[in-house]
Amino acid sequence: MIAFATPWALVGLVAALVPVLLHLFARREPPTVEFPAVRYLSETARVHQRRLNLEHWLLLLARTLLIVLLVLAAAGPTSPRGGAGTHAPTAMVVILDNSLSSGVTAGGVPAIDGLKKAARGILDRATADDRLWLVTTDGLARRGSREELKQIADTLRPSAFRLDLGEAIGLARDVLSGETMPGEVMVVSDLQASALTPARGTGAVTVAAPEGPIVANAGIAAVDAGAQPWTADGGAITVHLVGADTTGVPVSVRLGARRTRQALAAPTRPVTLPMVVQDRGWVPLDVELAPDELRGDDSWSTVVRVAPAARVRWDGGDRYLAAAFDVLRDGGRVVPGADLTVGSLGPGASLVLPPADPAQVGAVNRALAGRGVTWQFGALVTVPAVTDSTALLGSERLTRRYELKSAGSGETGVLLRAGGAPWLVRTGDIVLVGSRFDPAWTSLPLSARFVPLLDALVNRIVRGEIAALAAAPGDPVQVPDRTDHVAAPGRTVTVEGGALFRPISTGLHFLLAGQDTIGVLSVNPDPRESDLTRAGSRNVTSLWKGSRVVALDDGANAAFTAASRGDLRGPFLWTALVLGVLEAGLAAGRRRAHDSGRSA
Amino acid sequence: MRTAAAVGRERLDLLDPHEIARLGGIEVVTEGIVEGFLSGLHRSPRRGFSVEFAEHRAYQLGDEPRYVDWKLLARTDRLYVKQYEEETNLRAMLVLDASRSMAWTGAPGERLTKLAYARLLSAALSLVLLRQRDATGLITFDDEVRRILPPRARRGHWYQLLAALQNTEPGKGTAAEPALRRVVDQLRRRGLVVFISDLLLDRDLALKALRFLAHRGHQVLVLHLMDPGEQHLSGVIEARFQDPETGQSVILRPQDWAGAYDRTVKESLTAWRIGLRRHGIAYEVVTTDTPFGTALRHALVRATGVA
Repeated sequence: MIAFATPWALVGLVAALVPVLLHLFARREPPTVEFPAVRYLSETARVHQRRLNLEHWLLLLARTLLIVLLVLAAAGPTSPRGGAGTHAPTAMVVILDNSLSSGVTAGGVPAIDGLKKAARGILDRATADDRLWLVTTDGLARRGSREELKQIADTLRPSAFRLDLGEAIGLARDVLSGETMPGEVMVVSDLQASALTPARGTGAVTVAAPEGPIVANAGIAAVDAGAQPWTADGGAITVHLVGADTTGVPVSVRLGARRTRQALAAPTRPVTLPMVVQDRGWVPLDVELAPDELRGDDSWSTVVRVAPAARVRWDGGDRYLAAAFDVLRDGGRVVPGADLTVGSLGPGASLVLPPADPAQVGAVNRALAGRGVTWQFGALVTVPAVTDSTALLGSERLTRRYELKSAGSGETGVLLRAGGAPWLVRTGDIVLVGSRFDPAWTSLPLSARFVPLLDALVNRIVRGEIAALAAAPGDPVQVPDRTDHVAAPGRTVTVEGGALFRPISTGLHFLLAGQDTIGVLSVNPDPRESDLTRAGSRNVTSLWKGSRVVALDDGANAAFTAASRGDLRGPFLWTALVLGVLEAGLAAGRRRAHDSGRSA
Repeated sequence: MRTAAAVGRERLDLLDPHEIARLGGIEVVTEGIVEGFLSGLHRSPRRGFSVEFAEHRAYQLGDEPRYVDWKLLARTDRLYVKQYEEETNLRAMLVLDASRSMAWTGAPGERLTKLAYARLLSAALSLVLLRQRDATGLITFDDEVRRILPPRARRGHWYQLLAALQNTEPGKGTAAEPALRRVVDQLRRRGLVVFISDLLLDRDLALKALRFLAHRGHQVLVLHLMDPGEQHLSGVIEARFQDPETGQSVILRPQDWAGAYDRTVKESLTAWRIGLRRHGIAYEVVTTDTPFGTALRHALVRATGVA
């Protein structure tokens, strides 16, 4: 396929219309000349009209093509060059997409087999002078010889990871940017539309993708267990599906030791199952779909935290708090009790708000220090701010707040920030809030998020429990501060609290702080992998400039050509020269005919 | 531009026709042409043959003694010489095409129209013939016969011919056959027919009529008058070329068609030449930039074989 170095020069193609327009313009009614010997002209026209017409159109064609070729030459045309064993030394990065979706089976053959075969074919075209890398879903660019990379490709299996093709191409371009020889990126992928993202950098990209029909698939998009922890009354499980299979799919849900419940769901029709539970603590929740062509997205694992409702004592004089806890109490989420004090520092677990009287701030701070709390209320800030949007709370406007100062060496225990400063912090079972729950301080009491926030605070946060985190394989997850180990399926990994952790497999990852389990990370497939809709060539070429899409079987033939493109300016200019000579010959021939006629 | 004095020293029959035509009226110009033409003629080897006595003239020094009438000398004791008139006086008819196409010139102001050229050529030709005491007549035509002057040998007849030529205005179409048929009425015995035309007419009909005249024993000469602009197509800009007689038109760019056009004209002239010669009809192409002397010489050579 011909590409152009300076495509803007193609605007000059408009000039090719000039001969045509002149031709049309010349078709206007000409002036009339009296000429008695018209009979000779008529006879001449009768005999020579066809030849002259042919000459005329040939001249027009030659002139138009001449302009077109000159403009194309000015645009710097290039074309793929070479073939097996004939290409120039090339730095080649092969991106082999072994993401979850590559595990789909079509006609009894896993898609990954076709991708691996294509990758091997591409690598077979490499010579000893080429430099080769292989990028897979793990996001690493492996440098190796042809045989080494072929061996890696042969052993690849469908991964639980999602492959962001734009990110992978960006990585490949980063690798190639340090190379002196022509670079080329070959993407061997099932080309899921959901995997297409913009790629950084520039350079030739060839995408080899299958062309057959797309397999209808349904996978689990999400499992929602509602507000946690569950109480002894149980809760409801909602299963959301994703995919192109719109027919009903049997869904099996098993919570702990309870018997499996089944229902019919579809991507457009989530299913909700009320569940009761007798266990306490972290109860595993497994959801399974009936097997289909892509098995990797047919199961989902998470946990449900089951605990008794928090026994809370709140300040009945604070009408906003009172109204919210009335709702929670009516919903069974809290019961009146003395386990947890809301509004001020109590004898046990406490959710501490700034005192209404600023004069009492000092006393509160001393009391907090006396309880070993490393955080204290600082100066009153009246500059408006907005809370960071997190899973715990969205963006909420703050009018007034107290600075929360850490007396320790670092800011550990920050749960939420506002305007860049800590606003919700925790030390042990004591949580400090920077603002009072009053419309004069924040819009939160008037927000629908107020009650769920209080529910989370009293049932989970203050208790020191982290709700189940969710992630897809490979996604970075910030583990809680207290976490020192992650117990993944089959292995335990030492981590640093507050750092990022990347799960590499699906399943339940328990977050451990010493002997205590402080949370669970549920790692399940990225639901985008379940949508097997394939991107069109136009989407690809428009998203990644300089790219092209070829059939999977043509991948090997297309390799080592995009980076080594032949300069077509020479052939174009030579052709233009030949056309120019032809044009001059035709024109001269007509002039000679004219002149010879005169001298005859 | 030539001065009158310079022109006077030259033979008018060899000058540019357009330049000559500007020197004066048809009578003066024609006589000048003929004088020049006759002074350039070689002595005819046939002089003295087939002549009969016409009149006596007083002997002058230098006259050949063999023409002295000795019997009259004996009776009157005066020297007279005999003057002779050709016994077979020629009767000639000029048939002049005065159609609208004849009123065209490819270079107005620089070349004569075909009709103007034909007028002067006809006048000169008739003067030459009359000076040889050949009876000369004239037929003009366009799409019909316009004027007929029967052949006369009187010297004064030339002025009638001049008047007729001067009054010949371009007509409309061209129909030569009726005019050529009328020649038969005017030439009872064998004579000379000079057909002056641009031949932009129905060739078959014209050939048929000309052949008829040739078969009647007349010596026929066709002078094909052409403007140089008709012989060769020129010009750069595309134009609609329209026939003034028929209104037929063709749109073309001359530079594209010049070669082919010239070949077509050449083929047409060849067709005329072959078609006429096959029946013993003399044919000569005369362009309107040809000096009259040259045209007269060609015409007389074709017509009589002597010049």
